[in-house]
Amino acid sequence: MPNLKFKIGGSEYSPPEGTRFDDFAAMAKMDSLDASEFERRCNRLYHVLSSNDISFAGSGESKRTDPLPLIISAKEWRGLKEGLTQRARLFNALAEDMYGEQTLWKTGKLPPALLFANPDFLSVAWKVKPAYGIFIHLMGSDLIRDADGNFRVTEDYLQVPDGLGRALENRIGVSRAFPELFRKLYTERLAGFFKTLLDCLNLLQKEQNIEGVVAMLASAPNSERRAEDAVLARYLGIPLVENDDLAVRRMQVYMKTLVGLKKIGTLFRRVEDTACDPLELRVDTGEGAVGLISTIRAGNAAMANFLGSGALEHSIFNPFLPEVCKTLLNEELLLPSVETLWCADSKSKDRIFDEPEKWKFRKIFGKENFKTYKDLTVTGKLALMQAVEKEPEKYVAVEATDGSTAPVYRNKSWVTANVKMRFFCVNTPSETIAMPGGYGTYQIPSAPGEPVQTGEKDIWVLAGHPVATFSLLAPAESVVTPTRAGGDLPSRAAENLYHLGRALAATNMMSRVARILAERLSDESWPEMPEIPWLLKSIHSTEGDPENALRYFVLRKDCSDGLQIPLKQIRDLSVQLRDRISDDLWNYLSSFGSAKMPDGTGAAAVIPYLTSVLTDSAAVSGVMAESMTRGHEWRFQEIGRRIERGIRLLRLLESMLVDVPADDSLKLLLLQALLEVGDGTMTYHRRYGGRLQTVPVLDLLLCDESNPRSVAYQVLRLCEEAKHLPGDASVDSIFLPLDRELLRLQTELRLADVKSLSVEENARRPSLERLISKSIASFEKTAELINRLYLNHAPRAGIVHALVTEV
Amino acid sequence: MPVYQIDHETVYDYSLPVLFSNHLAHLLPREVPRQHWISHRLEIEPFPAAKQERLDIFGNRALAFSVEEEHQHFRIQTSGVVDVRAEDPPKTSPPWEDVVQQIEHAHSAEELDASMYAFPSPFANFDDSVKNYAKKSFTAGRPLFECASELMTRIYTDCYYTPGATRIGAMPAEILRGRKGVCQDFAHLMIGCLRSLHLPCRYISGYLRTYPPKGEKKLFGSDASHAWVSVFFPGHGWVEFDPTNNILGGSEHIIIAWGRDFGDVSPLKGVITGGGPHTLKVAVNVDLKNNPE
Repeated sequence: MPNLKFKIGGSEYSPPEGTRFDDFAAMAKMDSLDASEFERRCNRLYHVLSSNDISFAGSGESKRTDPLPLIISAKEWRGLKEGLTQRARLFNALAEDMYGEQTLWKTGKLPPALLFANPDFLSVAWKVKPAYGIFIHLMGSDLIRDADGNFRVTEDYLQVPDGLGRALENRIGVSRAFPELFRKLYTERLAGFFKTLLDCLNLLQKEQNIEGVVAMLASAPNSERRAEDAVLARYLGIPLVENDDLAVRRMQVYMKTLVGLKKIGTLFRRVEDTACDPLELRVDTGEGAVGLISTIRAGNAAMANFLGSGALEHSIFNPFLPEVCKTLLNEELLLPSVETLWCADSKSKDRIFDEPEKWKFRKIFGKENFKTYKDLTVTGKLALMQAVEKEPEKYVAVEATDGSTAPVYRNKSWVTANVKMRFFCVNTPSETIAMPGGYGTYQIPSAPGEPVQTGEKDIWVLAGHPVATFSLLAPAESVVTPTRAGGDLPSRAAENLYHLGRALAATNMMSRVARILAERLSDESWPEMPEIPWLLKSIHSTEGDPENALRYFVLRKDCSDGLQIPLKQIRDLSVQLRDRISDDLWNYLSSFGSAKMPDGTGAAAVIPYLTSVLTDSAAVSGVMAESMTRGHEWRFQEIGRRIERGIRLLRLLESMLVDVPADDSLKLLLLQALLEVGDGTMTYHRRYGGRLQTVPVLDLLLCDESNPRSVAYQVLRLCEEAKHLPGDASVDSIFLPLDRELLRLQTELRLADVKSLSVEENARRPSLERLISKSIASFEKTAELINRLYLNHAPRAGIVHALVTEV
Repeated sequence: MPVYQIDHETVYDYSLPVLFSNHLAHLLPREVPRQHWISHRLEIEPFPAAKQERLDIFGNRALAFSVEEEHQHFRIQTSGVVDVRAEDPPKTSPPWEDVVQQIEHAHSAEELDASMYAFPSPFANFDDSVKNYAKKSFTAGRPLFECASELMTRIYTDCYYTPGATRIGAMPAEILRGRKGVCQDFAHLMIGCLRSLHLPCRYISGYLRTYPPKGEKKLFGSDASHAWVSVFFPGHGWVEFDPTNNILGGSEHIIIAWGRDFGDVSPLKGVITGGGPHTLKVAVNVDLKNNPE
């Protein structure tokens, strides 16, 4: 091998001895980019990734994708593709036997432990036939290259393979950063693979003549996988549903939408199969849709990957695969696993005890990370080997190997990292396809005790000839009819949007009050400001030092009616709504209110923070107003926003105007503060000049329908949106209470006489108090009706075992 | 051969309306050679919107159904007439270690089926305490039948029958510590012991004929469902042991279903949407119809 040396972006890289040349095909071409251009391209990559970043929301840690892809040559791919697709067929055949005749076990080819000690063997799936006999629709396999440059499989993912969404994002990022390179190398496209996957999902339900939609059953909103699920669902163009979005009726599975139940034909699941049906699978967590197993068994819905495929993911199957491949497929295994030994076998056990440093260990059906012998402490080594000696049948040993290396660009220089490649295959009714590309990861070797640096790499498979461009965005054979409807909004999404609207309005009002309070408190003459206790009262803070009270309200996560609560809610909801909101909106929402917390003490320090929250708030409102179509999605966040703002405005008026101070100048100061919070100072002065009086202030903030920050305006908007809420024409009557409630509220405000409202009696304004409490009750009733009619999911009481067996 | 009339009624009364309920029942009896069902019927109220009967991996008739109308009262009742006979225990049995060996390397459908019951299961796992307890009866080279009978007798002697002492699904180690429980716990403990030695054994769910206290008349509905154990003897079949009563399963044991533990054959479980607090009434009655000599 020639002594390779590359200089890219002003930094040189000499590959370690024995590095394969293919890895550098891309590097050689990048050689033509000068230092500043290369930096510019890297920035473009990071920009694309961070604007669409899937690891961003959960961890706060930006994902790192290396600019240099891993390269697979056309020739190499031909062999690899054969091996991968064979593996996908093999596991499918193995699953078919496992959940069918179990011939491999009855003939003694596989030990019974692999079935019956296997916690992932799903007995409810036994003898259930999936559509077209496909158990494993999507397979992921982790590969490394061994010392001889041959590919070996380290892990197989047969139930919910991760990384497909990440691969997609890395591809978008890297190919946009280096478009000419991408084209010049004739890199294979990924879209065809996704189309095959989508076609397969569509086809599954056809076998049993089910007419339904294809939906993704996504992982829980707080799961690491969720963001990736959203990317995949968006790219495939299928609705994303959660457990609670599903309803099983008469052994059919439906998606709950605002306009009723919509039948699901294929569920593309992104949850473990044990989380599918609490009645029959995992009783303890209560996850899943009750009755789903019966539905699948009855053939009323297809599921991908099919139930039970996770049982084959364990490395314990590795040593048996060559023999199983011969038996089931009548073929030699093309793509071997890394060497794996079951310690129960005495010959294997001897080998392990001869050379323990060659191996890493795991319980046979364990899901925890492997323990690498050579990395353990002396006592750790001893304990491990004793455990293996005591119960050898419970351990599996896998060859410990770091695999091959590749250059990685880190801190403006090239370093050597170990790499792993995850490839994907899809089994369709007619063929098995491997994705020409994949999800690469790297790990930079670190000294003991130092943090491990990791990241991702795109994988480019070279076609060797020009490739056809094709995109999933325009499937040629389907004719799309224009429609103005918003599609089927799952009730769960409507609920999230509603709460998003409420949290946004809450944030806005809270920061406004907090800001004018902070402004006053930053004036050193604040102890002489009589309105401060009134403002503090409006944020429910009654005692202690005002500055501390304010800081507590603004900054502390443990302040139960503080600002951080809705801020966190907004960020959390943005993750749950990822598949339903635009990239722009996502960017703002996922980092909402996460500006740097102020250092130091005192009230002045929080002002910049509050300003940034209000800027975020304005940005989000702007993006929503400009970019959201006025469908149900818009409607529910708008309703939430108006209800919350209405209630908060009324409470503010209540705390500032119901009790009347004796001091006239304080009255004026309170009116002034009210106008500032209500953003009405300009309007007021334009209308009335500088004379502050209760009647016109009340009119502006309570009854003026033309002022977007008045209570009346919130009601007006609610009435307009309520008209377009979905309802079944034949059962219109059940929606009447909502219209009635809103009409009552609106009339009340329209008829209100602000003069009589401001009349004082015994230092109070009783008629104002009455109107406010009636209106708040009305808003709350409206919220309750919205909840009950559209959002509420009846709570599940839990799992009951009927009979205690006694005698 | 005794013929029994068996009635089994379960009633739920909910304080709030239930919107939907989904259930999985193991109340339909499976066919076994020593029993013949002359009649059997099952009634559910309100009428289920959907029903699915299937053979589970253990060969039981599992019934999944859903009730989709609002209700506050739920009732499921089975009644049947069954002819039951006892089976003879094996005259000789192999050393228990031989059975373990044979099952570990299953080479036939029968052995594979038996091996399904040789591994720890969710409600019947074990630890060293259980294994040590079992080992006292399982000495080297001793015939399996002798070992298993002694284990049954020890459990019967060592543990006190105490209703309400344990929760559903108490683990064998826990039962061994407390030394008290109901038939389910006695069965789980015996299963945990046998599995700790890799011996295949089943949890059987069914009914037992009971006798009223001397001089009293039997009250209708005063019986209960029962649980016991069966152990695999290669070449002979499965032999039933009832550790709660220290007897072999026989003509007074009526089998409904079997599995690895209670979780596989829970007579009725369900997920209820809505409902609120509920009251549960279960009445079981086992009546002898003929008078066998």
